[in-house]
Amino acid sequence: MHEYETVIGLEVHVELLTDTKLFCGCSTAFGAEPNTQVCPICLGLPGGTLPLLNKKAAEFTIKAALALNCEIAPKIAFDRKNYFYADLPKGFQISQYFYPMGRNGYIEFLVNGKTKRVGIHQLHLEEDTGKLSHIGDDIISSPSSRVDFNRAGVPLMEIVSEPDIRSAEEARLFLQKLRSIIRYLDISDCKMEEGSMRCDANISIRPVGSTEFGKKTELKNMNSFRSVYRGIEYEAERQRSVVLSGESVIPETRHWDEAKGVTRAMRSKLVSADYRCFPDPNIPPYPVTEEWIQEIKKTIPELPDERYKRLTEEHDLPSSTAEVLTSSKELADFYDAVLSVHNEPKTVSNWIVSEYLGLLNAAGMDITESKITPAGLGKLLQSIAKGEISGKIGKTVFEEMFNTGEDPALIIEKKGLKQISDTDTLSRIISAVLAANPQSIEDYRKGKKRAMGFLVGQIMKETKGQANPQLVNKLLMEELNK
Amino acid sequence: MDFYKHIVQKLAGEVNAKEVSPQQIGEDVARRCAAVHEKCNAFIKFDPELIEKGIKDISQKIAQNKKLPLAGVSFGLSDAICAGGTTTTCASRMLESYRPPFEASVVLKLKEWGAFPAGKTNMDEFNLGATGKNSFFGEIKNPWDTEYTAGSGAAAAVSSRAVNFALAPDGCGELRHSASYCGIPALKPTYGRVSRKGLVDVAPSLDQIGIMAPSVLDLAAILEAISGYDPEDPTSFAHEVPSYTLLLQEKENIGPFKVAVPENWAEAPYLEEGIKKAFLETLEYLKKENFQVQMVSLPNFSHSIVTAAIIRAVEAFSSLGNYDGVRFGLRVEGSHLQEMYRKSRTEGFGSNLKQFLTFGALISAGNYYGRVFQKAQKMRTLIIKELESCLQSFDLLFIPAVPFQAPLLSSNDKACLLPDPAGYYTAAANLAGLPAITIPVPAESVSGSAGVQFIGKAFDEAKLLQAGLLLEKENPPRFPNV
Amino acid sequence: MEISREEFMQASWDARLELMPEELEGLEKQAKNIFEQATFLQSSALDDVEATYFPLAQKNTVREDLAAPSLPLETALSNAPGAESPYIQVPKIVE
Repeated sequence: MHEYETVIGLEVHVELLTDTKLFCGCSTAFGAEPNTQVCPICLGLPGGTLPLLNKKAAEFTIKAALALNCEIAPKIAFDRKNYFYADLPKGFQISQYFYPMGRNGYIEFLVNGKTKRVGIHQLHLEEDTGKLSHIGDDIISSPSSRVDFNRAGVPLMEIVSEPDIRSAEEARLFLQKLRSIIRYLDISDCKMEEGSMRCDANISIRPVGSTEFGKKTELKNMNSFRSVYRGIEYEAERQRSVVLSGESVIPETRHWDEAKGVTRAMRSKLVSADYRCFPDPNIPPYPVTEEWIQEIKKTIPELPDERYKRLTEEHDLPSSTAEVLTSSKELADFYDAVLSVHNEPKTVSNWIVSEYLGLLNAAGMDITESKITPAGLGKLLQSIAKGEISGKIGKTVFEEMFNTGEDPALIIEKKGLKQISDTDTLSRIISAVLAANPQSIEDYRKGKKRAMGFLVGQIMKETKGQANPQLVNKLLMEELNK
Repeated sequence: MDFYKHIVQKLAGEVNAKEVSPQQIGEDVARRCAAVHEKCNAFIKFDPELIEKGIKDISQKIAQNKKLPLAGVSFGLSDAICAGGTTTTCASRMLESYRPPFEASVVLKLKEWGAFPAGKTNMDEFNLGATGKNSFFGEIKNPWDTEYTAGSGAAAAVSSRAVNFALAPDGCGELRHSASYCGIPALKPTYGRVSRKGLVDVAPSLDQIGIMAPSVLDLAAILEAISGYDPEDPTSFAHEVPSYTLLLQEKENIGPFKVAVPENWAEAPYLEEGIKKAFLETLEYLKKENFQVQMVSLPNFSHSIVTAAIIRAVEAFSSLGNYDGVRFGLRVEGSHLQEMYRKSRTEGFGSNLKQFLTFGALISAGNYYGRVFQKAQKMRTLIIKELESCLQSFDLLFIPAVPFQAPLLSSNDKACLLPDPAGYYTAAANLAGLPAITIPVPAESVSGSAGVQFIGKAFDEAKLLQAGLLLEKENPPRFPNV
Repeated sequence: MEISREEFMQASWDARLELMPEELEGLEKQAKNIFEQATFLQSSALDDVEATYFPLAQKNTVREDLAAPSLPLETALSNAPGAESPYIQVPKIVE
């Protein structure tokens, strides 16, 4: 019996963070009342449709193409993709068929500790369509539908991967890396729940060792990372069953049903197969000069891979920590900023990865919403390093900082949390505790080491946990061994 | 009360000087437009309110002592060009009630200068020809003899002097055809000389807004008014707009020009003896005026109309894809979306248009795209190269305007679209984006004239106007009684 | 170039148009006419020629990412036959 491998290619659509649409000045702001962000151009009104190219959208796309290691097209050219559908105002979508902005790029990410490279076949810029909603929520059973054209014309970047992905897990990792890079570039917020990032998958299976491609299905309607994972897993398994039962996979478009956890064939042919793409006669080409590319290159920040390299090689961080830190630009920036106040990479990274992320996740908060500043954490870590407070107390202070945004020094002061490191004070307290617990002294002298721990506990209780633990141990040992 | 006969600059002068009142003009224009509409069906629907509104605006400005360069000048506006306060139908049932929420840039400009639209003129549906038989709103009759076609309502209105000039689209020569049928001068500007914002898209790489007027001086004055870069039309050029009227007043430097004539000009299908004779006589006249006339070999020129028809069919198929009954236009209900599209478009579009669009769909599909459409675009390259090379050694190309005089409305033998035989001499200028002027010269025809045509270098309209003026001096224009 | 009746019908379907039999016939005749006249379609002389899509080889201009006013809702819907403010209604999508 053959072993089958799954072959996956992904098509990702990303809504760009421009203020206006790709070819007109209508706002792209999310959440407006339907059909209030439209004009003759994006509504496709006769006599009113001459498209006016948004420079920023073009720049964002070139930026992404560079970050994904693509070859950049020599000119920005647009073509018409012709078909009839209710959310398509002009009867064609303006897209890039002949000269996509970028070609032959790649993304790399770690799979089980090994670097995997997935090719980027192409990256291009196009218009988004309007939004359809159906009475009854189901396109198949609904008696009529309604269109909102606010989204029509919003700039969309489409990224098509090579069919290099081999599992649902790899697909998930690919998407995470892609999203991370795009967010680093600050050209989209890539939120699948909001629709600013969408993913379709092309899935097929073939016997392991074969180089020919099997019949593929296109899977749509996966609206979260989890759906993508589940959808791909299900479809791969379904195709396996089909083939093993002696049938062939039918090449078709399938719909992921999140509720039922299955994929279903889309019964109707919604769209004509032949798009008749040809250069849009209303949009002359716009030259992409070497100068412009260099200008755009300068605006690209240190990307996740480079950051990862720096963190592991220069700061000597373990790879898992570096992965977590570089997964989001805000987190990585935060790390660098704290380092500029307190230059201890291992300590800082540990605090961020365990304490800070722990608090953020528990609160369901994103780092951008947090009250903690890099200076704040830096100062806190300095206090700990100087011995002003213990590490344990430090964690309490940090929680307080998280909730109130207050300065650590202020919190330590207000709550009187300063570590007691004064020998005289501690000696006095130690003497007092020893005087109150003669049995423990005897137990210790008899060899019961646990008595030491009890006494330390009592001292900590007396000092509300603020006694410097190392000093307490030292002084106590001296006393006991007298 | 013969101010209607004055050239536009003279008329504007009289209005600014308050020698003629806008009200007088309004009454006169309304009367004349009603008469030509009655006789020739020149307008989509004759609407005196449109005239009243225009006159009111001008009167206000004149009362404020504003000096407007085209004060009180009336114009016919083809119903393919959007204007406010009325419908824009493109002579199609599909757009019978379409009221665009914007105005064409040329209309805004003309209104600013004090001119006013007297009515939306009749035309072939979506300007696919100048047969006068393909309008949803009835046949367009020639003011010289109503058994014959006028080609367009614009030509009928200008030749009967109901309006001072008209604007109409020219995709393969329709403007020039109908002007020739009615015996008036017309100018198609260089591609991008005049903004297309507000002209309903049919074949965007061929279409331009052109001018018809009773005299060459009028053409010059209007060209000056409407030329120039428009940020809302990305295909418009920023070339400087010369003062065409001043250039025409230079008596000294006009000609003699070096004129090229394609040696096989007489091979046009359907070429009538009357046209041939008139052309040859004009050629002799030019030689007498010291024009250097030479026969040149332009082997691909004869392929122009076929090439243009193929390109136009594909661009039109795509550009008319937004006519679906969703956001505007005729909607015929269907049991589902695609059926609604089919019914609305089938009932909304006329027979010829439907056949033309189907042809466009055919030759842009599958491998016809490369074998037909792309090949035509390659032939386009050859035709352009030929013309440009010829115009490097010559100032102007000289050819007839249309192989035949105005056809009988009752006859069908020249009412073909694939290709339109009327476009044999005119389509090349659209393919190459070059300017062209047609001038009526005496001939045995229903209008007593035939059109002859000069094609010039890009943005060299001045020479066209100068050559036209010279011919006009010898052959003063004639106008029918309406 | 021989084009079958089926191809014409497919093309009309793709263009969302229903042609009457006489319209189909008329189209077939005209198509035959233009293909006969377009002799260059058969020749290989054009193989190495580049296609022209823009007559004067113009270059595009770009616009800054600045908002311009949109149409008021009423105006946006004013020409729509199936307007059900604020949406535009269409019949069911799936056959």
